Amino acid sequence: MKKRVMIVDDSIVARNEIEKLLAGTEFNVISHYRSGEEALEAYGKERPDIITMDIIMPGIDGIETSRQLLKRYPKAGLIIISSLAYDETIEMVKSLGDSIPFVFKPIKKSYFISALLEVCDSRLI
Amino acid sequence: MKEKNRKGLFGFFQNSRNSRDTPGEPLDSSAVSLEEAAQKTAGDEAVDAAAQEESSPAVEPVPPLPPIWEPSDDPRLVRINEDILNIERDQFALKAQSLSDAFRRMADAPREDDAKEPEPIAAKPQIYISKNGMAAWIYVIPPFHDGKDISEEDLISFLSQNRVTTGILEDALKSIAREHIYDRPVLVAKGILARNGIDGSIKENFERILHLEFEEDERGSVDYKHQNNIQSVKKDDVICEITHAVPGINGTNVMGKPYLCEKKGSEAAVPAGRNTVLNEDGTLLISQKTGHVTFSNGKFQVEAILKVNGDVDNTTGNLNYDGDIFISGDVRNGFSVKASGSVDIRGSVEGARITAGGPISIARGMSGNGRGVLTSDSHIKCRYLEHCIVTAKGNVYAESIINSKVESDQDIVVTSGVGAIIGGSLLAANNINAHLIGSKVRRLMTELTIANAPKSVDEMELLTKELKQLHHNVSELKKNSLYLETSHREDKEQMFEQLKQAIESLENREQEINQRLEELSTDDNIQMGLIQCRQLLPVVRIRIGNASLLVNEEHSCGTIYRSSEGEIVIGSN
Repeated sequence: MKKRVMIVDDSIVARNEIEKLLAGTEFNVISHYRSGEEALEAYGKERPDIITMDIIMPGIDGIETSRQLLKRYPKAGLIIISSLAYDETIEMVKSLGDSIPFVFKPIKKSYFISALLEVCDSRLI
Repeated sequence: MKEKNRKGLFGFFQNSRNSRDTPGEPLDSSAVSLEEAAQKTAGDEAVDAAAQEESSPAVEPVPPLPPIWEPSDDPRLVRINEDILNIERDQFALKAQSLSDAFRRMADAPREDDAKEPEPIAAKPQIYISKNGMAAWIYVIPPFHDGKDISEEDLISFLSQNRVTTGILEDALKSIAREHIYDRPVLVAKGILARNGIDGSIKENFERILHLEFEEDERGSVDYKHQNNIQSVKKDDVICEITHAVPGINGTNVMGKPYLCEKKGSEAAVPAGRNTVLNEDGTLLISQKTGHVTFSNGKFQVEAILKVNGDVDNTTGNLNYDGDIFISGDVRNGFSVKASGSVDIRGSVEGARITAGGPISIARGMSGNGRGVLTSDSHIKCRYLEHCIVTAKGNVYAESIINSKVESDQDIVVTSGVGAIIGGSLLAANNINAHLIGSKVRRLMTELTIANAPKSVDEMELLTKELKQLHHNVSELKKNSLYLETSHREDKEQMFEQLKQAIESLENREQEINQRLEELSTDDNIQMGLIQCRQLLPVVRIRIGNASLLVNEEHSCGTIYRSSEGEIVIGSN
């Protein structure tokens, strides 16, 4: 059975790119949301296997969204995807949890798939 | 005439006529009085019906008379139904005729004493005032036995006694007296007709409620973008045109009392709201500001700021407004917002086009999806800019600029929040300031350019290209010229001349281009712009004027500038 992926990114370009990368894989995009607030509200109903989370979004950023999400759902499968490839942001992501991958934009497919599989293993999805 | 208390036939008639003792009351005594007068008293019973038929002249039908009031096309005149007045007149005439007949019979009745001369009976006027008080007729019973004819003075006095004071037809009175007009009703007074008023009216040049109409094209698609649901207005534009009421004028009946008009004419209520004003004569409602017109609480108002509560999407369509625009929500993909003033967006912007004469402010950021465009003649402030094209005459402020093309005629400032410039190309006339430039992802190239006039960079490129083409063309023409020297064409001279002119023209243009390039180069040499950042991550291409540097290593830097030798220097912190 395909793993269910929720995309959280305000960029349509990014969302389309991720969908394209996952086409033909064992991962299936079930929904996408433009903001952290929308994603937090939807997560409880949809319970995706994995969330891909952008950092810069309208409203609360992806780091804060992830913090709130993990507080409510500690076992949520999470991957951060962002252009902010800096030491500071890398540290911020690490502070969320050790096993949360950070995939840089522009996304390289191999890194991305590898991150997804890593999350599946760690969360026993 | 002074027989008010006389009994019998005449007394009945006189007494009932004198019952009109309340001014202004419609006078309707003629029917009552003549009815009573027609009742025979004991003294008159001797005159039997047969004798009446034999001796009294037959009642002749009253011939049609000219209209009481002159015909008029004036729609305001309150016309009176003259047919009804004529019926009343005819009824009066009939009854007055009966009275006259009775007098005649009495005058002709055999006397007890033949030796004695019969007493003269003076002419007697009878008056009838119409029920609405607007016409009065006099019927004069003729004199008998050489009685006194009626005089004009008698008639005038008679009218006065009967309180007829207005609209007296003096010619009619003269005619009655002069021509001894007896046994016929004559119009002696007519009232002044009333004129109705006209209500004021208002012509509104703007809609109170906008009805959105969506049209389908031949494919069945509906265009939600062009909804045209803003009523723009400029200062001093006319919102309403007001036509003042024309007041009605009451008429006057023959007794001097008002004859009311039916319509008084009332002013229309002017829907004057905020930022509108009436002109001096109250005929125009004018906008005091440039903005847009709305209608609420029964009034038109002008607002300078166009406020959109919610998103710019299918429900609003594109916006194009002469003034400032405030949007509380987002601007969705594919829509455009254009304002001559500022644009203040409290939500976020997707792949939309925002154009403003004033500043643009986007509270939550813009993710342009490769098609978002911001253009401002002033500054632009945005929480983040991602995948969009930005052009500003003023500064550009953001917390992060990612994979975007940004041009500013002044500074680009990315020093709040994350303060990161990642990918894309940025061009500023003065300075570029950021915390972080570039990213750990080496595949991403970030281009930064400082140029006095950003457009001069484009212009230099274009002119250089044109110069190259021009040199090629001149070279070709010169080759043709050489070839022509060896040819034997009949039109050789003419061709030479044409080639010469063409080469001259191109050489002139070459001179122009070189001159302009020199100017641009001179401007460029005095380029004082700076790039400031804390951390520079490869790969970054930096241009300051015509100097260029490709950065392939990480730097903790302070200021990047062009030295006096014309080289780009990365100054460390």
